[in-house]
Amino acid sequence: MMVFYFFYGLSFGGLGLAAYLQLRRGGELPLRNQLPWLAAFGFACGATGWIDMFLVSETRHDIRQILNILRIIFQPVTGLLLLIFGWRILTQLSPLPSWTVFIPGVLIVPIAFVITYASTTFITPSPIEIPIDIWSRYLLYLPGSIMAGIGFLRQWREQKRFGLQDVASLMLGAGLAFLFEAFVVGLIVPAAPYGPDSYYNYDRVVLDAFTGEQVDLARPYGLTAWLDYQQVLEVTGLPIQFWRMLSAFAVTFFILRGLDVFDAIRKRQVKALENERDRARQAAYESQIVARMTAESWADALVSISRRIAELDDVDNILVHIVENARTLLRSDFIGLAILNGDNSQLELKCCSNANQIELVKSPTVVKSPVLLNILLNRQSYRSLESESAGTLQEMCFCAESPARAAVAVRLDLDTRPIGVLWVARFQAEPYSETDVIWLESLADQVEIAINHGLMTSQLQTLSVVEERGRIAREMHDGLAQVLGYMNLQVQTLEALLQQGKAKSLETELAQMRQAIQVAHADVRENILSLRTTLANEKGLVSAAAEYLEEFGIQAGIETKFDSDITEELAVSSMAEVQLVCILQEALTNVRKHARAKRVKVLLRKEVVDEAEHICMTVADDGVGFTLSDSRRSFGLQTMRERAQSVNGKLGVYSTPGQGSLIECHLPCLQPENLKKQSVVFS
Amino acid sequence: MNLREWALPVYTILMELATGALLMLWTIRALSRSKLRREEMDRIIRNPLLVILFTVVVAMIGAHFHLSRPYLSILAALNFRSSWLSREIVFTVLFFLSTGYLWYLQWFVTGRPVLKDAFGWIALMFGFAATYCMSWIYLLPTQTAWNTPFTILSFYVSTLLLGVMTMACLLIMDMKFAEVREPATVQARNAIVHSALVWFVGLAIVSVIAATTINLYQIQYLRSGDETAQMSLQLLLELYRALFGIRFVLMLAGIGTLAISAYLIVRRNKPATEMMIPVYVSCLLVLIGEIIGRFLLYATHVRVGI
Repeated sequence: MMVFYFFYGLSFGGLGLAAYLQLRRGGELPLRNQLPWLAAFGFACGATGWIDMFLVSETRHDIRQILNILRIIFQPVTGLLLLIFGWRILTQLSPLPSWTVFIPGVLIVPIAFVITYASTTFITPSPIEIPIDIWSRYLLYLPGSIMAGIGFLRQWREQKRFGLQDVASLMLGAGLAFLFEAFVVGLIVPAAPYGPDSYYNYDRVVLDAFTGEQVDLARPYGLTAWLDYQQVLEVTGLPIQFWRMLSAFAVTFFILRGLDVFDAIRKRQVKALENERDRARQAAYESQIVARMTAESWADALVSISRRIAELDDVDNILVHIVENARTLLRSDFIGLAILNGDNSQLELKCCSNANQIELVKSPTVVKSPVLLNILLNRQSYRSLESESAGTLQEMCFCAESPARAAVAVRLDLDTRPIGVLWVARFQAEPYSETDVIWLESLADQVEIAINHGLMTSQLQTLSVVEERGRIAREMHDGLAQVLGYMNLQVQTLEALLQQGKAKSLETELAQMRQAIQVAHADVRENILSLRTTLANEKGLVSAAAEYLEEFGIQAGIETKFDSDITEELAVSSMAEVQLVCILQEALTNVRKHARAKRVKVLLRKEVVDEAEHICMTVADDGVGFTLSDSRRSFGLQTMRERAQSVNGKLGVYSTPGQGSLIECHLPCLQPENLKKQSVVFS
Repeated sequence: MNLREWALPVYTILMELATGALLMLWTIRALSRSKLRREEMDRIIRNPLLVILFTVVVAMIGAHFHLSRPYLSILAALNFRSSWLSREIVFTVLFFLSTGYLWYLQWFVTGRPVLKDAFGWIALMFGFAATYCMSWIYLLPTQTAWNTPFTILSFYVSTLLLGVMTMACLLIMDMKFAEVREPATVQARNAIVHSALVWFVGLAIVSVIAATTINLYQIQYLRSGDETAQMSLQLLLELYRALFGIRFVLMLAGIGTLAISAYLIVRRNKPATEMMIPVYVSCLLVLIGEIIGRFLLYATHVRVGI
């Protein structure tokens, strides 16, 4: 018997210790809030078991007295702790159904009667520990174990619902173990002259069914026989203490295993959550990178487009650049740009691009897509939906093998008037997003700005030409008209001298007149040359400069030399070209008028300054030179400087009296890219 | 007392509790007529009425446990004209039937307010009659300790006290239940609890004073009685002294707890449902005290004669 009590005490003591250690470790176990009560119950029950162990052994009388007192205290305390633990674990999972509110009300009368009955048994001659033992079991152990058992069974269902099968089976085991504990510890009590055990097994009167007379004393029968220690021993061959020890083992095993598995599962779940969080974080980070790269790509594209527009690049080049970027950034298989013709009667494809090529459409290609034509009427951008039929997007892709399965199109406006459509399409059924529409609208804005700038540049060029013509007209007026007026006066003077017979004076006047006519003739020829050069748009700058220099040399009788290391098309804006030619003309005019040079050399070359390409033109002569403060030349030099600065260039003038002069002009080039110079918009 | 003998205290206590609770319930119903609509009131009293009926059923079942042949119990009702036991059985059955019908009216019949009113008072009448007959059973010349008017008075004081404590506990429990199931009635229930609790405490104090007074007079009576009376007194003040003292301590503790709870609810506006546990404990304490009192009644009687 000692052995049984020892292991009984050891089991529950171990349970208490394990619960206490788990509590100290912390964590987020579902039973965490109940661990203090479980630990207290375990320790108290273990102590009670070991007290029983010492009581059944041969101990001294005085120690036995102390042990009895301790047992009287510990047993109801243990029961109370079990009751509290059972109640808490029963209600821990979730609030009980609302009708359970009435259970205490229903039980109030039985509870009151049982307590009263229990209190009356204390005044019987029995030793006090017997009623304490019995009523502790009936009133505390029994309901506490039942509640704990039901509580663990609720946990079993809950863990099954979460899919934690291993924990669920342990909770089931713990629940059943507690219910078994309720039976062997709470319901089977020592024999005593008060029931309910006594009622069923000792006090019951059995009457004969036929005579109605009382027959022999009641013998335990049915399940109630098991409420008796003696009956348990007779049937099982083992004392009740063995079965209590077994129940203690079972409770301890299942609860401790449950706590361990809970812990392991929680750690696994936490680890899985952490991994999930890391994955999500990584995915978010990668998404951010992708988004940032996308935004950077778009920003780069828009910046490069804007820079080209700001540098007055050719409109066609800008549009091709936009088209190329749009197709790549919008991950499209086709992009098209169509402009209304002159009388706005037809929408004509001007530029398109697919994976293999970018094509500038030379011959008029009419766009007949109803979707695109519809956009010209409405201001709404168009985005195809997944539910739309493939036929809706017909005739959107040119020079493509597959029809469009998804498309976005935006209208191009100039001063609120529609001028064309820009659209992208995919051959796969991968719909565009709202963001794609916004991006395409941004690019359409750039197209509109580029076209607008092109129109303004053309107007500016026209204005420059008109201004240049005006200058030439003024110079002709100032120069030639004055000369003609002077000649008119000179003729009158010559007539007077002839009449007076002053032959020598007459010769002198004639020589002056001849010189004036020569100067006027040279000026007129130069102006005519300027007009011809300015209007010769189809020639490149290098050719135009070379031709002008050659013609100048012929007219002015000065040896000229033109040198250029530029073999490809110059990447300068039209305005810069015009200004460069004007600067060359002005410089050569100065050479003819003031330098008295025999040779003049013009050099055109490309150079890189601060990582940017520039075109550099130098005009060098071997004339008389001048000092920079010479007022006769300053107005022309100032004009040249202004021309250079107007196109973000610089002009340098170097001269020493007697050692000729050097004019050096640096004008910035556009970004070095392959540009096509075919006109699209303005052809 | 062995376990079988406890069947009688079960029966008497539960019958008194049911009668007292029905008295409190029907009084509240009558007094709340001006403040609440009939339908609302009927909905509020349904669950407490069910509990009262259930208590009567348990009391009747419990009464059979003290009989050796319970299936022949109905035969005891045949001597209505001469036997208080027969009358007790008849009135108990009538109380059960009338309470059952009242429950049926409340749960399944809408309207019929006059009928419901009437049956409530009729059931109460049967309950009081059953209690009266129950108490008269104990007025036996051979039982000196019982054969006094104090027995009848103590039965009615117990009826009042148990009714007050039970109804206080029931109203608050039902309100907690209604918070989930019938939230629309919570406000009305709260109003009833607020107004009834003060009266409950007052009646409980009166009952305790009455019970104490009766006990004192009973002791005085026994002290001045014959030999059996003296023996009864000796049992009460010596063997069962502890229980006698515990009984009053429990009653005072229970009523004190109820009074504090009522103060907090009524004056401090603490939600009544938060005070459910103290009110429940007060009811439990008083009930235990009353059962101990009933036990003492049975335990201290000494039969005169052979």
